Amino acid sequence: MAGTAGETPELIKVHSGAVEVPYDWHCGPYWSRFFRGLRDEKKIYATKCPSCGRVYIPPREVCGPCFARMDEWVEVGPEGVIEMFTVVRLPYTNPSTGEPLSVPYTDVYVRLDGADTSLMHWLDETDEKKIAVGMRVRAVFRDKRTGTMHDIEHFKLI
Amino acid sequence: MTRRVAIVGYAQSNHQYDMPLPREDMVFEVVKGALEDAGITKKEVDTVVSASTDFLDGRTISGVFYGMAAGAYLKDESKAEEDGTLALYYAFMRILTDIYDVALVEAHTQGSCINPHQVSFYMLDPLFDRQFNVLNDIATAALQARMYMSKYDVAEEDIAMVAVKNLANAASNPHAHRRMLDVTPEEVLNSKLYYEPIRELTMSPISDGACALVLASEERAREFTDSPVWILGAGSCQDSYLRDRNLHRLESLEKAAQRAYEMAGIKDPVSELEVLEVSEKFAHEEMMIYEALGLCREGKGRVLIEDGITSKYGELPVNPSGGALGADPVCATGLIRVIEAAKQINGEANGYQMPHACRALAHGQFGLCAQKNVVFVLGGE
Repeated sequence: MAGTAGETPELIKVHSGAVEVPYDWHCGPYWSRFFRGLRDEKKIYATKCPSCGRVYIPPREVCGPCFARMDEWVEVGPEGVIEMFTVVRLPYTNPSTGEPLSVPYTDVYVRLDGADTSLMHWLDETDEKKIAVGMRVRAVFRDKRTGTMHDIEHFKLI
Repeated sequence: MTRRVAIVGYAQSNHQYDMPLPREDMVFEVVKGALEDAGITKKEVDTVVSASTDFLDGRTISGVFYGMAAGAYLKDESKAEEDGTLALYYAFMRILTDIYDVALVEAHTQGSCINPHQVSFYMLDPLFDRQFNVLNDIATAALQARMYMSKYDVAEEDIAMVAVKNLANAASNPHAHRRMLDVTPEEVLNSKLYYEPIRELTMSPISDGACALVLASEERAREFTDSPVWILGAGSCQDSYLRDRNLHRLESLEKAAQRAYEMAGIKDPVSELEVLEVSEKFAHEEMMIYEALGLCREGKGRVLIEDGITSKYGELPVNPSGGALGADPVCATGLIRVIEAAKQINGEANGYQMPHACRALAHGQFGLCAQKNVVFVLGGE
C-alpha cells in the first residue's frame, strides 16, 4: 500500500489529450447574404421584423419576441456609436489558433446607424481614456475580403 | 396517473446530409410546423423543452442560441443534453404537475457540422479508455455486436436482414435520409467495413434533422384536436458504463419498458401493441431491443427477423418508417420515433401506414452501446 508512515501518498494526474473539435457551420441564406454584402459590396445588411419593426444585426430568420420570419432587408452603418467596450489586458490563448493573443486590444459593441441590436468587433484604440460610450465609430473594411466577420478589419473612432 | 397528457401536433424536417441551413432555421421550421399542426400559436405554449448536445451544437449552453427559433423567448424553458425522448419525458412530467398545460418539445442535430462519431470519443472514461485513442461509439458497438453474436449464435447475415428491412422501409418515408427500396443482403454485407462487423449499411447514417411536437393536458388537448395521441406509459433508465455492464443485453431498456408497460397496463406487449418505432443506431441493436422490450426471449431476436414478424407485413411491425438506420439526426432520432408512432395511430403514415395501429411503442436511446433508454407507449382514442 501507500508509502511509509508519515509520508503523504502521491496523488496522480493523467492527461487525456488535446481536444480538437473542427466545426463547419452552415450559414444558410441569411448569414450568407450578410457575408456576401461584406465581401462584395462593403455593405452591412440587416433584417427587419415585419411585426415589430426591430432591425437585427447580424441578420437572422426569426424575431424571438414576435416568432415571425423576417424577410425585409435593410442596410445599416457603416457608422454607429459605441454601446459598450472593454480594453483587454490579460493575455490568453486564441482558441482558433492556439497562439497567445497579444494585448492590449479593445472589444467593442457598436450600435450601427439604423440597427436595433449591436455588433461585436475590435476598436483600433487601446487607451481607455480616449474611449467613451456614445462615441461615433466607422467600420474599416479590408482590401482583401473573403466573406467572414474579418472582412471588417476593425472600427475606428471618428 | 393523475392527469392524461396527449400529443396534439408535430413536424419533422426532411432529414439529409449537409442541410444548407443554420440550425436555428431548421429549428424554426419544425417548431412552426408543430404549432400549425396543433392549430395553436406560441402564446398557448407554457413551457419549452429541447434536446441537443453542446458538443454537437458547437457551443456551450447551446439552448440560448436556438431558443428564440424554438419559440422560447422569455418562456419557461430548459434543455435535455441528450435524446429528444428525454425532453419529452421532462415535458410530460411538467404537465403532470398541474402547473403547465401545454408544452413544446424540440430536438435536433446537424451531423454535417461536426462528425458525431468523433465527438463520441468524449463519452469515454478519460483515465482508461480514452488513453488508447482507438475507441468511439462505432468501435464500442462493434465490440457489443461481437459479444452478442457469439453469445447467441447470430450471423452477420441476420444483422444484414435488419438493415434490409429498415432501409427498404425508409424508401416509403419522404422524411428519411438513407432510402434503399431494393437493397439486398449481399449489398449490405458488401458495404464498406468500418469496425468489424459494423459496416456502412449496418449503422445509421450521419444526418441533419430536427423535429418538434406539442404536448397538452387532456382539457387543452380536447380544445385543440379531435385526435389526441395519449401518452399511456413512460419509462426511463440507464445502465452502468461500458465495462461494468453486460454489453450483450440492454438491461436499462428492459427496465424502462417494464415501467412504461406497467403505467400503460400492458401485460403482453406482443398482443397489445400494433406497431413499434425504435432507435437502432446499429442493425444488431434492433434484435437486442426486441429482447429487452419482451417481444421474444433473450437471444431470440434474430428469429423475429428471420420469420418476418417485424417486417411491414408481419404480425408486429417494427420501424415501418425506416428507424434510425433510415435517418439519424442524433438527438432528434428518438423524438422522431415518437412522432412516427403518433402518425401511425392517427393514420397519417402515408405509404407506410400499418393497419389497426391503436397502440404503439416509441423508443429513444443515448450513450455508448445504448447505455440510456427511454420508452413511451402511445394510444389513440
